[in-house]
Amino acid sequence: MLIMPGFFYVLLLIAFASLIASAISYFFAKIKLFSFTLLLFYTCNTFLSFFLIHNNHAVFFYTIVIFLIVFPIICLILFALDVHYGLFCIDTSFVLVLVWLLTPVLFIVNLVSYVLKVIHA
Amino acid sequence: MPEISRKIFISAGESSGDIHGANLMCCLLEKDPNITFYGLGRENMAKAGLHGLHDMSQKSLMWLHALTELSTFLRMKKDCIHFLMQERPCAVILIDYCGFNFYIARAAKKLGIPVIYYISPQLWAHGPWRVKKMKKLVDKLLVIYPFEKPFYEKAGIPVTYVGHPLFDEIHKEGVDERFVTELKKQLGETIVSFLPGSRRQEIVRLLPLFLQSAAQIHQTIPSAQFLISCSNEHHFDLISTITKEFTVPCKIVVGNAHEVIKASTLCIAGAGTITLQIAYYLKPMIIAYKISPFAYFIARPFLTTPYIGLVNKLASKMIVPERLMCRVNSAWLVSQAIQLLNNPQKRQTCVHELSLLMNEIATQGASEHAADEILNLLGSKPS
Repeated sequence: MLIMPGFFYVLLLIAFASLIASAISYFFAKIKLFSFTLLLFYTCNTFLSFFLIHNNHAVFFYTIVIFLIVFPIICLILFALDVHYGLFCIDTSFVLVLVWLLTPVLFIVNLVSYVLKVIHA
Repeated sequence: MPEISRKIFISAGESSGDIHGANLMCCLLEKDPNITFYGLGRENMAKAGLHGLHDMSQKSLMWLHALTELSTFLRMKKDCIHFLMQERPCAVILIDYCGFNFYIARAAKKLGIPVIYYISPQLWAHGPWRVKKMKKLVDKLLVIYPFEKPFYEKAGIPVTYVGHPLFDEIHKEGVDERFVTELKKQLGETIVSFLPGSRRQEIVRLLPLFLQSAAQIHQTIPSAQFLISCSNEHHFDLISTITKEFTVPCKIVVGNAHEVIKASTLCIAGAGTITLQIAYYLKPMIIAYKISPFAYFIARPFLTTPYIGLVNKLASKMIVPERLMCRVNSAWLVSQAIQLLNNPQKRQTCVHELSLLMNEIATQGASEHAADEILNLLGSKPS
């Protein structure tokens, strides 16, 4: 699939900025800002991955989407529900938040894919 | 007609919980000798008559370190739940240690066994959302700090403030004045003691920081001598090994924490209950706690209290210097220590604030009150 270089760079920039912003907003417990920046990060990366990987490696694309987007989002939603409703009645549900740490991997996958694409071009 | 024996399941994971659990068991047995205790505890609870399902010594773990012992914890959980199902005790008493005890509470609740939580985990300090779980799991909460009562009442949990059992413990144990005099005779009048805590991870993290500061304090105040309180003999080798890496001479005292504190001019401690013990003896102290930057990053959004030290939290102001560190910051520790050792006015202010706090909270009879509350809940009149 063809992608405009300018659009690609904008997506890359937003992904990078939103990752940093989400880390900062998490640290200062700004939950709404954290949710927004994380959503932005996931969205940008999904598009980037789609443009970079989907055509040639569809299986790889769906694997990383499941592992790095669907799984962390489910965990974060479960944690949010647990915080709000005391869902699980266990003390250690904060471990679900650790899944959030997977998210920078998505960015790195996209970056490596892009570098490889540029080299092969 | 012979009275029927009543089974109570009791669970305490940590060494402090074991001491308080043992005191509570003694009070309960005094009031009702027909009670038989089963559950999890250490040597003190075993001496008080606990039929232990597992040996809990060496199992006090925090945070991610607990994951390394996951299989042991799962086996313990399975055995406890099996016991609850088979024996159906008349109550479950849980003492702190919420990471594990919440599982027991959940199982007991499903079986319709009343759950009493004695010494609430510090939900007000980190992860206050867990109060909703607490409400679902616990029939009665017996808290040890006055500010905890309104916190739990607001969440709709039946709660009673019973006082802190530490003060019973201090009163019961007393202080060996001869040992205090001997320490002072050996080390002189300026004694700085280090109390890094009872957990292995705390010792590994805090002791090198304390010893690094000791060397610098010794340079400024050559008369200063150093004591390390080793709460558990299992940790003696670890403390000796760490101490050998530093040039400053330190005397390690196993147990006798009260005597170590009483003999000290200044105490440098981790953030736990030990700070309350130091406050009881009105000794100036510095609270330092060190965690990894990663752990700090993850935990930061869940920290809701501005203080890490219990005495500062209880006083709702900074009455003793404290700092949560991500990297070794011995310079801060040294400067605070030197100020408290050399500045009589600062020492006096600190001692005065501690005495005001102790007048408010250092009352005895916590275990007794807790035992009365438990027997009331179980429907038998305390004697």
